[in-house]
Amino acid sequence: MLASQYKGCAAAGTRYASFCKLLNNPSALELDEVKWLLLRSLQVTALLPLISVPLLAQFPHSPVDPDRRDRGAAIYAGKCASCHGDDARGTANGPDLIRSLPVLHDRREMLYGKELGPLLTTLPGHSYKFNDKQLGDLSQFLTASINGILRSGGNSQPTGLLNGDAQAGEAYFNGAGGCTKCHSVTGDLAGIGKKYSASALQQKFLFPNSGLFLKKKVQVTVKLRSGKTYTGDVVHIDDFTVMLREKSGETLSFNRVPGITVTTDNPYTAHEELLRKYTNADMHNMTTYLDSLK
Amino acid sequence: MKLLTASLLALSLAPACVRAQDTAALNKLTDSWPTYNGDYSGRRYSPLTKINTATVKQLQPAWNFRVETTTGGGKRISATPLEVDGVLYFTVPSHVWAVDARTGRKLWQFDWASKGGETIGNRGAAVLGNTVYFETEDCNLVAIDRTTGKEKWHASIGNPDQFYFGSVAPVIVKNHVMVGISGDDFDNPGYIEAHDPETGALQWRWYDHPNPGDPEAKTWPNDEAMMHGGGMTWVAGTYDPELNLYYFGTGNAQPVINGLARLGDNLYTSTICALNPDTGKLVWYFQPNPHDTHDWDAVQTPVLIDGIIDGKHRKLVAQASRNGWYFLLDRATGKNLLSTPFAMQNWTLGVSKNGSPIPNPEKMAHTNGALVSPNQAGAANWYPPSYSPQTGLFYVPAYDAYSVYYIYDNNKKPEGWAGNDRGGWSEASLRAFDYRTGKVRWNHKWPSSGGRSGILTTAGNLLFTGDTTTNLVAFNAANGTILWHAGLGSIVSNGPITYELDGLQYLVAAAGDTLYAFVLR
Repeated sequence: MLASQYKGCAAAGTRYASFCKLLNNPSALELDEVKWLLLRSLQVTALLPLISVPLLAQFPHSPVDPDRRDRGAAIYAGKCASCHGDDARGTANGPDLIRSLPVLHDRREMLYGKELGPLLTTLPGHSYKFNDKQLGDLSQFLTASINGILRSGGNSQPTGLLNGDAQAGEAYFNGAGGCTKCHSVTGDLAGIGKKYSASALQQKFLFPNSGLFLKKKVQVTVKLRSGKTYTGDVVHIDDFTVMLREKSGETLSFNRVPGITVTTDNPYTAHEELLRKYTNADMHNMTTYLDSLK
Repeated sequence: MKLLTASLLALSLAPACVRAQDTAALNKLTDSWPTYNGDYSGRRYSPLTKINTATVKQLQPAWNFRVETTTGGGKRISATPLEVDGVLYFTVPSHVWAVDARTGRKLWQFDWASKGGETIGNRGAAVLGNTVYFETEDCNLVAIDRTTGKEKWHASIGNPDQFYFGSVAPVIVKNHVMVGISGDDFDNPGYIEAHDPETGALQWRWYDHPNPGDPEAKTWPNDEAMMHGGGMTWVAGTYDPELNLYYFGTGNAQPVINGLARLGDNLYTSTICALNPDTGKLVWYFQPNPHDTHDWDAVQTPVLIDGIIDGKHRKLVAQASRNGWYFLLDRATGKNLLSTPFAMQNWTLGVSKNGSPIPNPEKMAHTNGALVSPNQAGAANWYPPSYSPQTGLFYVPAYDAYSVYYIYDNNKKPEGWAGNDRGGWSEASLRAFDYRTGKVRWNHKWPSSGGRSGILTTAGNLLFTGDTTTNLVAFNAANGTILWHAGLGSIVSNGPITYELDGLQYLVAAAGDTLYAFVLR
């Protein structure tokens, strides 16, 4: 079936041979090829936008038990916060505990306060005799406080996203933004504010070609020397190979050899051009306006 | 077997060879690639010509070497291999290999018992005499016997409790093993230090912040902020033996994204520094990225160029910085000669009289978002650039990109990251520009965005790099025409190298967990 169309398929021995195998004889795929294909298609469709985000989580967190952390927080609030601050970042009367070497050591080695205990009875102004359980709870609270400031810390929600001017956003939408060329707030965008959280909405109108479940992908047309053309969603494209999925669901792969022309059509060009034009205020106003479309 | 014996023989003779230390050999990268950047200049330019624009199509696979050992998932080879006396030395976090450069046969493997740390990558080793040096993610400099692959000694280079970790390829400068440090999760000062190559003893450590009371200390609101102000030294430096200056860039200021509690330029973070390697004293500095609030650093390799400016021979240093700007400096004095964007950027209000871009407060992170170009991954990143004296062009894997920067932690004393960027749009290109003007001579836009890799140029008028997917690609260095490619198993994850042995020129690049060698027969 369609064998002639696989002539442009990548040569055996290259990774792209896996694509051909997927098309012709999927059962012959090795596990690592399957993984690679999955990864490849994911990279192209979903993961690309994440490339701009650090690929790897930073230092492994020392894990925290939420119950122990909360018990530790109560101990901390009662005994420590008045000098070291509610957030353990220090006050004029006591140093920052997040930056404390003994606390950092306790966290990394998961010592559950074993070495902090003696300090809490011997440091000037300290005579806190905690039992092992209390020390462990306190240690878990401090560990959680440190974990929270890391790149991969839990606090990662934008706030105040709806403090823009909805009217100005509407004016931008209908005017300078040129959004009405493709969109309508009573049509495709009706109720958009209900569909997405404000933070997702902001990302969505700025970078619609990023993230999962794209409505429309970049289109590619491959024209063979014979004049025959194939059009579909880009699955993979580099300078040497192009893989596309036709409307029928059929997936085709071609080598970009002389005589083959490849043209792409990016449906999000207008959004990309707006990136160069938006002020922060435009962005905030648009977020506020679009969120109001409930 | 014969080849193995030959290699072992070469190894046993190794103590007599001090090539890694021999500046003359460093200036002539033919049968060796003895440092992270090949030579001290950071140009990553090889004088070899057998593989050239006419012959590159005949390149054939020579061998592959796949890494099967990992620590903490760090199996990606981002190290630039060294090649000394027919042996390649390369690393992943906590592991080092010696591999026959002709055959890919493993001679030894060194496994460090790590106590844990960030395994984001390890950029490679250094060789001096009979010793191989590398950094571990749990903050040790380890010296390994080149012949046996056994540890000679190890020395602490930092406190991993404070989220410091080792990833930088050490650089041998005279009798100093120059060591950089990584880790911007936490508000610590960065530093660079030198160790004795024989004993591992610390010779000096230079923290990249001013001393309290220095004029530069005024670029911080207070000493507490300065002493916790970051500036990791992520990338191996370059060295001018005549000037006896070691050049390197420093990393982002801390806390990373919310800079409201550290108003000022925040010296010496995101700064190009020139240090005397014998004393560890700062000789000059230039700051490409004052008051960094985007995790952009200024650690990209400072490339040493002997060029002609206004008809005069000049000793220059050039950096294509992560913030999208290209800088050309006099490397004896640090005087700025050129500051110009090489990629899309929207974050400046202009350039100060000393040549540093002036950050626009509007483009610093806000709680409700600031739309910024480039994104956090940067217009450039750690991936080694290249300069070809043959073409006069500076080459960089360049990204044009936007993302939104948010402050997440509005505490009056923010700590750590305190924000991040999100999402984004990017276009990836291989960009070639005139080193004197920054004017783009040719640009190859990759058909899709994706990964990046380092660059190698050669006197065969070639440029080798990885594309954004999984191809190793050869370009005509002068005009940007693609001449050859090979599909590998993953994105090219390091800077390719080349060397000639027995009259055969090899090309070696890593892609993920595998080294791929090609040869012209």
